[in-house]
Amino acid sequence: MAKEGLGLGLGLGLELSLSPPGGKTEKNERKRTFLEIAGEGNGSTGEHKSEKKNQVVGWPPVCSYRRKNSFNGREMMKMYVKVSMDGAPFLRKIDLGTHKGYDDLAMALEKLFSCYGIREALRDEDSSEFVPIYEDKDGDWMLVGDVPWEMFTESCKRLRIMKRSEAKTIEVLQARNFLKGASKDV
Amino acid sequence: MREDRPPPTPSRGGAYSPPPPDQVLENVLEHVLQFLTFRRDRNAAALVCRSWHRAEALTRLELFIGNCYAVAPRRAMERFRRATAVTIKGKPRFADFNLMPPDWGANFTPWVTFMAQCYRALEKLCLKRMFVTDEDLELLASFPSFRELVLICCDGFGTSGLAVVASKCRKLRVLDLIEDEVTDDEIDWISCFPEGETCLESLIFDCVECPIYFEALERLVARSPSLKKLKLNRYVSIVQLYRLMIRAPQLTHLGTGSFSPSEIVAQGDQEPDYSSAFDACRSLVCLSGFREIVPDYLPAIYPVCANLTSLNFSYANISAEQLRSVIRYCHKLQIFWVLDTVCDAGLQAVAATCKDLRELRVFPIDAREDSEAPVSDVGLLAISEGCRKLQSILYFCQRMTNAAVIAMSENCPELVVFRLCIMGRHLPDHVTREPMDEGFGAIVKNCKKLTRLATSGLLTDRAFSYIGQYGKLVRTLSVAFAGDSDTGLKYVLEGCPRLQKLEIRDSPFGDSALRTGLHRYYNMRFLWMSSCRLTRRGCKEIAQQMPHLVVEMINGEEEEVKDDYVDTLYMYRSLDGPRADAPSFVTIL
Repeated sequence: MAKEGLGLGLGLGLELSLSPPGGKTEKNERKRTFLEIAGEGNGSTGEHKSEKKNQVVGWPPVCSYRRKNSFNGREMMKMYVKVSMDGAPFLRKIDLGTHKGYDDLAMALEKLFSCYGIREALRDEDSSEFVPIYEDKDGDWMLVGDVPWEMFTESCKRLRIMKRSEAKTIEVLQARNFLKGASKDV
Repeated sequence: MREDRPPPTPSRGGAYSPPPPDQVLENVLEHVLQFLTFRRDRNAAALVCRSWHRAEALTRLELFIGNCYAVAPRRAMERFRRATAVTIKGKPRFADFNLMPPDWGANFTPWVTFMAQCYRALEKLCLKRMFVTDEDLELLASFPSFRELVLICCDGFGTSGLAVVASKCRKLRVLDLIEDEVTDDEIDWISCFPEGETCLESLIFDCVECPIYFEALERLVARSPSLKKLKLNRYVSIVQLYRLMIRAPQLTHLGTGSFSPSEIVAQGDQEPDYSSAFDACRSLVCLSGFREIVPDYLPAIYPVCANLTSLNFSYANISAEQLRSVIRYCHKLQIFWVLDTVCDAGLQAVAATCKDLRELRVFPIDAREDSEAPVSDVGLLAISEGCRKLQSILYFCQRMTNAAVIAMSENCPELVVFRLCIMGRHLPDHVTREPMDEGFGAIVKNCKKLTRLATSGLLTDRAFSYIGQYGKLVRTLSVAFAGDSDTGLKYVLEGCPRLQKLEIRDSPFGDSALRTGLHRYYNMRFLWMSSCRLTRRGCKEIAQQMPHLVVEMINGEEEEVKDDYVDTLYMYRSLDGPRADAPSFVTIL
């Protein structure tokens, strides 16, 4: 795929792609929609089908103010939880919705608390200095990283980064046993 | 209220006109006409005869301009010389959805310039979808009696303009900024309110996306004993909200700001008793905000739920369970806005408790046409069965059935506004796979008070035949991705005598249909048609046949329109001909 201006010396940085280039997206998308209707929509070719998946301008009719302040896809859902770290004087608040996975979360936490070792904690529990745990919907404290990310974001109510030395091992072990399917004491 | 009018004498400095022959009648007329408040009544009175026209013009205190280009500022203000309250609406509604290029117009400057000469006694101003500059605001702030500023969906100004208004309008009672786009000029405008007690009654700034200096806000609230409405932006944390609430327990309308802790909270800090702050607000009837809600804090609002008539959760990502815990107390609720994250189950909870509900709006958390919306016909049906007094509904969903819409038309005869948005384009009834014609048909047929309708889903011309046949009171109609042919639009233009605002996008209506509306267009506020099948020639014909109609062709880009098709047609009647400020991408035919 030629990245230079097609040898025309335009220097516009044109790129070949299926979708219309950035600035013209809106108008061309609208025109495609018009063409779909003109061709009665249903008989769309493969290419039109992929265009259909692209967002038409201004549809659904949510006004731009609300769109900007709301959410446009699951990735951007705001899920605020408090995070505390043993030894740190301040609680933090983070938006789980802005993170794509555990690694991403770990990096963000490391930056927030200016410490390292959280990523290690998530990968290999035993070596790290930290034990990240979270309180779930039922009020139980669970180890971070064992369930799929979506499930985690849906059930996490707050986060705590414990120092391994301070960890009440019983609590943590209970959490791990629960996750491993052992029956839970009522 | 009888006053004896003094005999006419030359007024100081103003023009002197000799008294009309029947001065007594004129006086009586003016006194009587003062009691007319409704616009329509006043317009009717003005048509009776010349002296009524004159008397009405002199006694009209509230001037309403539905389309800023329908009349020139001079003409409007010279006729209604004594108006002290003005409302002006600018861009058409589809501009909210980015269907209008920026810099299209609706400039407030020509209006305020004239007001500076003619309307120095101006007290109240309400602008919707207008472009307002900081200089305009500065000019407004110089009017000595100015006390109420309401800006809705406006842009063009920033916090520096707000700072001037705050500091110079000594009598300011209302400053309501609603869904505006406000640039951050990094000025602490809250600090610009003068020291000493203010007469502020309403301060709404939830749309202002700039941090504020909290201590200044706290001091302002503390010295505003008349403050009844306060809507905070998302930069106000829940702790700060608490501090404000305990200073203003007299509030009736509260926008809670972020409703979550700030980014940093000291560990081990005792959190205040938020619910006690709510408990102290005995007069609270309207609650909104929750911009970054941490749902843990929801129980704080329980004490006020029983008194709430209006609750806006439309920025709050909450579940059905979380909603249920709140809504079960809200027996008096009349207006409810919410996100579809509450699912059908959440709406069922609303239906079970809110028997007095008049207005419901359900917004999508994921506003894309292929998103999986968690509300459906099930939620709509539940609402229709539980909330029989419903008057207005806006409902975003993906799955809908004719049966549910028909049920709503039968259960909710008081419906005045019905706006259903099935987000996937051309989607049929998800059970029967049929078009949504019968559902919308039932709405226009059974809801005899219906004045506003927005359609969606797969619709054939039949749907429009129903609208034309039964929608006799419809004033506003919004259509998107609907219809088969010109016939659809013809049904509407021929059948709906009260049509005022017609906005259509991406529907197969062409010149022939446009022609059938010639008898309507002078009585309408506007017609919008984008991405339809109109040609330049067709539009030009209309322009030629109707000289008082301004026919604007708007192109998305500055290039020649291909195939003679018109991107966007926006047309409206005007008493003063085409506007002088049209940008290059607008062609006025």
